[in-house]
This record gives sequence, C-alpha cells and structure tokens, in this order.
Amino acid sequence: MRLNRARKTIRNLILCALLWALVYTMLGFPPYTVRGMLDRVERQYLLSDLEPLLTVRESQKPRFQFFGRHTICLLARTGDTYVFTEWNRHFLETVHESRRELKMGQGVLCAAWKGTIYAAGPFENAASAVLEVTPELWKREKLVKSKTFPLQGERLGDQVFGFSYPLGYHSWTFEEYDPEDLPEEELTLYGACYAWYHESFDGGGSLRHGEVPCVLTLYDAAGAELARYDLSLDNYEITWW
Amino acid sequence: MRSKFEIWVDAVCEQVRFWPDRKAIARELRVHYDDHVRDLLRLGRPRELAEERALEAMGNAQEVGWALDRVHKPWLGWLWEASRALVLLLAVLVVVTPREYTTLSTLRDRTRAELDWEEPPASAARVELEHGTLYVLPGEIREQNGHTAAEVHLWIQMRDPLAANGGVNTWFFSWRDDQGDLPRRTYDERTRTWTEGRCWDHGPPWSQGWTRFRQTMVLLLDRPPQWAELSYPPGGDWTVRVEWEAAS
Amino acid sequence: MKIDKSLMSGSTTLLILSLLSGEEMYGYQMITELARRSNQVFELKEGTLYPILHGLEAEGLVSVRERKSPEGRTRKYYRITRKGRRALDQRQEEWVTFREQVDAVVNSAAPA
Repeated sequence: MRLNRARKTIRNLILCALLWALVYTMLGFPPYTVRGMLDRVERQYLLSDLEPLLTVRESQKPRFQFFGRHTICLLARTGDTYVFTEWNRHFLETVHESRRELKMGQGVLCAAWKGTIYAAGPFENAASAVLEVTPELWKREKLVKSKTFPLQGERLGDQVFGFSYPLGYHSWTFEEYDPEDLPEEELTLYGACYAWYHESFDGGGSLRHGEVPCVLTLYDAAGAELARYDLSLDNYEITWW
Repeated sequence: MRSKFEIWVDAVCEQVRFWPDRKAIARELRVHYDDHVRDLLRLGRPRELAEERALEAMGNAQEVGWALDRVHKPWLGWLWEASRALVLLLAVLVVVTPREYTTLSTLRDRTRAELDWEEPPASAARVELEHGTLYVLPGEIREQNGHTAAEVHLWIQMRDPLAANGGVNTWFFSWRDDQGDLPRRTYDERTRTWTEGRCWDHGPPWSQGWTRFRQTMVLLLDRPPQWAELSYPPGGDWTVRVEWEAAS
Repeated sequence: MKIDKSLMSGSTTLLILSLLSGEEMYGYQMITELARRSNQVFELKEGTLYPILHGLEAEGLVSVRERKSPEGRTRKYYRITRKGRRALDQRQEEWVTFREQVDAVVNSAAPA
C-alpha cells in the first residue's frame, strides 16, 4: 500500500472523471438539459440565442427495461424563427428523434406531436385560436376528397397554442374499405391522415408522407379576427407514426 | 465468555465512528497483544499473569479509541468508499455503454478531418456567426444535361469543439442568382419524383472534423453564372455573395 | 528512571520516525526497540502507538505494507517515506535547537 487513503480517494476521483469522459464520448456527447439540447441545435443549424417557449415531456417504462424512455419536445424561438425539436432519452443516451429532427418556420410554426398540434408565433394578443386541418385524398394528380377538421386552441404559453385531437388506432382494415369510401364515423382527423395517405400493395402497405394544409386563425377577446396563417403539417406528425 | 482483551478491543473500536475500519484496527491490536503475551511467556511468566500485564500495557481503551477516531475521520472514510463505488460503477458503464455513436473509427476519422483541413483561401467570402465563421468560395463550372452546374465550396469553422456532433445542417440554406431564387431539390412523396430543384449538396456529406466542416454544393443555372447569393433567413440577416470570373 | 509524560508527548513522532529511518517495523517491534535503545526509559503505552502510526500514515510520513509471518500472522509493517524523512530531519533540527536552549537556561541557572 504505497498511497494513503486521502491520495487513493483523489486518485479514484480522477479515474472517475476520466471514465466518465470516456463514457460520454462513446455516447456521442449527449445533452441532458433543455439548454444543452438547444445549444446543440443552435450549432447544428447555425442559429443563435434559442429561447425555449414550451417543453413537453413524456416518459414510458417498457416492461423489460430497467430504465424508462423519455421524450422531450422543445418549442423554441430566435428572432422570428420558430423551431420544434424532439429528443429521446434512455438512461444516459440522448438522441435527436431521427424521424423528426427539426422543424423550422419563419414568423410562425406548427408541429404535431402525440395528439396535439402546437402552433408558435407572435400570439401574445390573441384571446383564442382555431386551427382548421384539411387532409386530402389525391389520386393521380387529382384531388378526390378532402375534409376540414376545426380544432379549438388552448393557450400553452405567451406565444404558443395547443390543439388536441383524438389519436386512435383505426378499427378497419384496407380489405374492408377503400380509402375513398371510408364511412363518416371512421373519418376522424387521425383516420383521414392515415387512410388517405396509405398505399396497399400485395403483401402489405405503407404510409407515405404528405402535406396536410391547415389554416390558423387568431381572434381577440371580442371575437374579431386578428391574423390568419396558411401552414402545413406532415401527415406523419398527425398520425404520430 | 469473551476474554478481557476482546472486551478491551471492543471498547476501543466503539469509539471509532467509521465502522468499516474497526475490523482492521482490532486485528492489528490483537496481533500486537499476542506478540507481547508470547514474549512474556517466553520469559517464563505464567499465562494469566502474562495476559494481564500485556493488557495493562495496552493502555486505557477509551483514550486509545478516541485517538484512533480522530485519525480515522468518518467523512474521509465515506468519501473513499464512495469513490471506490463510483469507479466500479463507471467501469461497468464503460463496458455496457453502446459504442455505436462514437466508435474508434469515428474518432480517428474526425480527428483526421480536423487535422487535414485546408484553410479556405483568402479570397473566400466570409461571414461571422455567433457560433463560428462561414467561408464560401466559387468553384468549378461544368456543363450538365444542357444546364450549367456551378460548384460552391463551403467551410465552417466552429468556435467550440463537439459543437455540431453530426455535422452542420445546410438544408435551410437559401440561394438566389440574378434571375431569382434557386429552390432546393427535394423528393416529393406524393408524385414519387424529385422536384426540379436548382441546388443540392454534392459529393460526400460534410467532411467532419471537431470544429471544422467542409461541404460542396452544386447550383444549377441557365447560363454561365456571374454571381449567386447565399442567405439563411432563420439564422440572421446575413448574405454572402460569390462571383465567378466572367469567362472570356 | 521514569520521565514526566508531558516531556515525552511532543517528541513521540520524532522517536517513531527515527526508529523507522533505519528499517521498516511492525508495531510491537517498535515498542521493544524503543525500550531497548532508550534503556527502558521510554515505555510508551502500547495502545497509544497505533493512533500515532495511523496518523503518520494519513499525513503521508509513513507507508504501510502487510506481510505474512512464517507462522501465518499478518502484520502491518510501517516504513518511512521521503516526506517522512524530510519531516524527521526538520524535527531533529528543532530538537537539537530546543535541547541547546534548555541546556543554556538550565546551566546558567545552576548555582555557581
């Protein structure tokens, strides 16, 4: 025993620091805080001073895993650029969600996640907001069907409104109905965004990406229209695929 | 029935607050006492007397205990135990951590790219951003399918390392020339075709160092280019203009 | 001749480091060696040796090694470190100065 206890403790703590540096490098330098995640986004997308507007967290604990999975969605703003980014954390790993790395909008942004559509913009003076989402069914360059779903907004922050809609699993199969002939009761926002963008082929099917136009309207306390924005969402965001 | 010495040792150890050390202390004291007893026996003393004398020579149990307790500080003891546990935990972590994010080859490639970086020429246009400097230089001009394709070289020098793990994203870079905007070529899922874009990334993805990144973009123009302007509305009001020397 | 304990306490570290400056020793060995070299004048209460030894180790003046004796007993052997040697030299100097000053006062107070 050459080293005494105090020196051994110092040696151990230095070793801990080195081991942690090794682990952190192997994990690809993950960020763990909201500020860390925004800093990472700032550098990857050459933005500056991202200010968080809304943080949505969700945790899940799958049965056979020791540590839970956490999802962190961030809405942030710099100047008049709005950004929506989704991160997943499992124990010590933090990764950008690969399907939806970043959504960016100038002046206004809307992004959907898990049954809520978030809209961010200069909404401080609005008393209420309505978002009309219109999924469309196209067949060979022709618009065959569309339906508008109006959603009432809930204020989630100075510059953020949230619009909820029911997420669901469709109860029908593509053998039962042709997407064109879906009965009214199956035609929810979720259902339309799934069925009208789905393609069946022998042995299966796939959901392709498609733009779903939406119109955001803001009203003041008296009910007069303050502003109107034409936006679009990806159907994958709405179906939370 | 416990021997008198064992009772003495227990009384000493009771004073030592950091209990993990008690066993070693008791052992050391016991060896000492046994040595003394053996010595006295060798000198011819009867066992009972030897044991009594040896025990008396050890001293007052409380005083010895207090003195030992002052040396075996509990806070240092617990800190030491904690540091050992932490080293073990981290060693286990090193073993179970997935290595797919940063493999040895990633480290090697990025370090090599960082060191192989050529400085952008002094003639390159540059813009200072909050997190680094962007350099843009006009490149080669080629004929491609009846169009003129002009290359543009981009360099980014970031201020801090590990900044853009994964590279810098140029998806939202916006180009225009004297005839208007040059939209980016994208894939339209609905029509299953590539849109007719006028600019795209060319060649291998960003050559990634730790703070230094390079990328080449191609701009599709109708005639030999004179200038093109790069801007990035989300990132600020800046624009960078590149000019090609007029071909004679 | 038994010496007043208060005179002893300050110099115990000096005595122990001096013992260890020659070779590494275990606790009981130090007690017997100390008694032998001092002609039985110094008889440290044996239990109190160990707090001192542990304290010296915590300060880095001695280092500890466990060795197994032929009979199978595991003993802790203490040996002086480089830092301990420097402390020993310093204390020796202090002791020499102290002794000279005490001598000077005591001898000058002696009746002529």
